Amino acid sequence: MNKIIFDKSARNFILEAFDKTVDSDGYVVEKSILSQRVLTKDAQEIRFDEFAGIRKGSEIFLKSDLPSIIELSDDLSPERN
Amino acid sequence: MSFFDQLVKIFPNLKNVFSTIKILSDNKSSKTIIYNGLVLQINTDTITDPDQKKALQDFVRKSLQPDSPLIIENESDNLLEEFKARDLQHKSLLEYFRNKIPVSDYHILRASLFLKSQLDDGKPTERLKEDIVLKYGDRGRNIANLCSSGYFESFIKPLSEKIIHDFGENSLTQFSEIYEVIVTQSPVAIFVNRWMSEEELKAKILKQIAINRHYGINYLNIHGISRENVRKISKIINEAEISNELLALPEIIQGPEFVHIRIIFKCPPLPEIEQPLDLLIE
Repeated sequence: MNKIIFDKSARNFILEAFDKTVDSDGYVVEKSILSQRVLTKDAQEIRFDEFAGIRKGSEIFLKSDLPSIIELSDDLSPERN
Repeated sequence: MSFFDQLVKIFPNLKNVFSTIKILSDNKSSKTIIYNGLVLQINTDTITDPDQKKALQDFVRKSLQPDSPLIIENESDNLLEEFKARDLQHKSLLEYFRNKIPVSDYHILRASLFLKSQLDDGKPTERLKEDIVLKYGDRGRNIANLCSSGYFESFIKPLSEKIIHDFGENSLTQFSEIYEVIVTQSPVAIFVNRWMSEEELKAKILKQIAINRHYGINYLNIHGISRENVRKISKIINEAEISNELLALPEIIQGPEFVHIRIIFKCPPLPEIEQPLDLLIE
C-alpha cells in the first residue's frame, strides 16, 4: 500500500485537487460555492493553516489539532477506542 | 491499475522504489521528482505543463481508496504516528479510568497523557495544550495540568483504589464526588504527599489560604492518601494556627486510607493578615 503525504507548502495544490479553495477570511471553501465553508466530521470550519488532509468516506476533511488527530487515530484503528 | 502504473502515465521513467509519495511545492528546487529513501517527492512548483498538473491532481483525488484511505499533511502524519505509539504505552492507565471518569474526561486524559509524554521528552507542548483548552475549556486545562504533574498516576488512581478498598466495588459515587472537586478546583487545592512533613504541610496550608484569600476565594481543598497522610492532615487542621482561621467545621470525606477535606476560612482578608501576592508565590 502506498501512502500519500504532503508538505504544508502543497496545501493549495491538494485543496485544488478536491475543487476547494480559501476564502478572504482564510477558511477552506468549495471552489464552486465560495460561501460554503468545508466542514469536518464534527461540523467545524477549517482554517487554511489548520488543514491537515482528507480521509476516505465521501470526503472527510481533517484538522491538525490534537483532539482531531486522536479522533482520526480512532477512526483508522480497526479496534475502536 | 496500481499507484505506480497510474503515476508512470504522468511521470514516465519513474522508478518503482518508493512506498510513500510526498507532494510538496518547493520553489528553490528545479527537480520535479526526487527519491529520498522510500519516499518519492513530487515538487509541484516545477510542473509547468497544465495537463500534467491536472493529471497529478486527478491522481491525488482518486487515490483515496479503501486500502489507502488518507491523504495527510506531513506534520499531522508525524503527530498521528507518535500519538498512536504513545497511546499504546498509556493503555493500562487509560483502561483503569475508562469507566470511572466521564467519557469526555477520558478523551481529555488521553490527550493530556500524550501532552505529558511530549513534555517529559523535552518537546514543545504549547500548541498541544492550547488544542486541549480550545476543545475542552477550563476542565481540559485543569485535567492537562493535573496529568502533567503526574497526579493521575500518583494521586487520583491510588485514591480510587483506596476508596474501592474502603467502600467496596460499588463506591463509584464516592470517587466521582471527590474526583469532580479535584478536577474543577485543582488550582486552589493541596495534594499531600508522604514526603511532606507536618511543619511543611502547615506552612503550605497557611500559604495557600493566603493565596486563595488574595483572590477572594474562601475555601481550600486538601487531598491525601495513605494512613500516614490522613493522620497528618487531620492533626494539622485541628492545630490552633489553622483552626482559628476557619469559619466552620471542615467538611470531610474520609476512609482509613484517604481523606478529602474542604476548609472554609475568613474572607475577605483583614488588613493585618493580608500579604502581598509576590511574597506568597515562590
